[in-house]
Amino acid sequence: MDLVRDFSDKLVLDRNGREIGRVDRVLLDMSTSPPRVVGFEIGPAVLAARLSPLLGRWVAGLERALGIDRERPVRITVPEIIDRSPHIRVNRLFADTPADLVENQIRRRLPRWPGAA
Amino acid sequence: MSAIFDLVLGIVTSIGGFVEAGSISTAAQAGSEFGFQLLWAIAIATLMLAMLVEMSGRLSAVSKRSIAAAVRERFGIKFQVIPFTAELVIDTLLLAAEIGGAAIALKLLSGVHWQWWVIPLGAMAWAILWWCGFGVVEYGIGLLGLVTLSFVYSAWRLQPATKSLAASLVPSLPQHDPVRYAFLAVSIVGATVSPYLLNFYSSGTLEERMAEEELWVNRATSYLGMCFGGVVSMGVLVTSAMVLQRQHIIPDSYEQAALMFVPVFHDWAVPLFAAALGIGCFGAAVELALNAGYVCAQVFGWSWGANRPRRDAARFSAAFTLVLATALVVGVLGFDPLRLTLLSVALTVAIMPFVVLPFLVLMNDPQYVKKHGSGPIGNVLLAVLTVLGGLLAVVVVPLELFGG
Repeated sequence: MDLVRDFSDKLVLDRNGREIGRVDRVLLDMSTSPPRVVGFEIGPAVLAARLSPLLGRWVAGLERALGIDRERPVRITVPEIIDRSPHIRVNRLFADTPADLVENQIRRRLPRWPGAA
Repeated sequence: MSAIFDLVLGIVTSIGGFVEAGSISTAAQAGSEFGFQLLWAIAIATLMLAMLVEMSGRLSAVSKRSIAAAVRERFGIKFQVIPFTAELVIDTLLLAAEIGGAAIALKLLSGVHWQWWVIPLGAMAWAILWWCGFGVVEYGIGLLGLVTLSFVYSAWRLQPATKSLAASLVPSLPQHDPVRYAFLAVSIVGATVSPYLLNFYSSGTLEERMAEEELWVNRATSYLGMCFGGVVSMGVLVTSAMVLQRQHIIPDSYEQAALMFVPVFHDWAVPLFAAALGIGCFGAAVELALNAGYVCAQVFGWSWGANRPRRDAARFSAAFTLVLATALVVGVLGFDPLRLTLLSVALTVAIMPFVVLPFLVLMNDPQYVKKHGSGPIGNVLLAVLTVLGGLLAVVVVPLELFGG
């Protein structure tokens, strides 16, 4: 497996096919040789940290300020992966992940007008 | 039968949706200052766009990924942060310019200052995005946009010399203002090859669930639709050349550009120009806002889709709402839509290498396009486009400063 090509930045779906996010950071066990992939994380703070550690800290602070930092980033371990192609499908439900927290917060603020597409 | 219907509808709506603020303003200025001489720039830009649009559709139909998603997966966030940020900035500026263009069209009809129309138009665009599915956005507005064919009718009625038109399809040096000429040529390319069009088209391919077997529909729609659309842009340039240049008018506002319709449409000139400008700009505004939602959702892996219940894709809905709201603030503050258009066109050219380069890699990666990769000719053309994009990106800032 090519870590960058087949894993990093891939779309992650829950077991029903609903989008959870993308692989924003790959977790490696460096105690083995060669290092072993043990899982990955999803979340804006870890994604921002890949661009710059300072930006990562800033985004993490923003998450705290907005009250959406609970159980973030979403951490998924290798045994939870059901399928890797074309997208990474995991044995979780979107509604049970912290990613749903943000979606829910925005949903609560969206108007409940009838007939919305 | 359904595929034929999709093809015809796709071509017709591509024609109706081709012309917007950027293409009208650059073609009108080019025609008024250099006659037919810059027709070649529209022809080349249209072919570039058709080629990239076809590749976007092919990539999406085969890989089931949009351009933004494929770039994130293949190149990673460290590369994508540049085109992503640039696309959001350009989308917002262009969105403000398109809403401004539509507002000026309403001003031409009503006499009420254009800034008063910005908020109602923004609300209307948001309502369409909130209540309507992809079909209405793509086909409904595209069909209304057929009013822009009035530019082609006008050019035809003015009876331009066929020989001059044909000669202008070959690049030539100007007899005056070479820097301005080069600036307008580059601006025409920037106004035509908008990155939002590529991602919007590839997202549309996914929204409509185009199958691999329907790639011929994608090819025909891209090339025929874009090429006929390019003819509408040429209609703007020819009409401007035959009317405005002869009267020594260089349009620095849409109100002046409207004069180009007077010899053909007489009393109907202003209403018809307003309808063409208004529908063209408003349609582009709706597509731009939707595309901003698409890009954000696809880069970050959120639920998205114009055919999904909005509350089921809350972050996607919030993204297009936020970008639309930001563009409205820019519009209400009174930034000149024409200047905003030219600024976003220059930015588009500046990021062109980041838009074109990924195609060279993605269209040769079997993981994405399977057996439908680019052949040797396609690769040579893509390489030429990448080099051309790089050159244009280098010259656009000096040209903007000295020729803009």
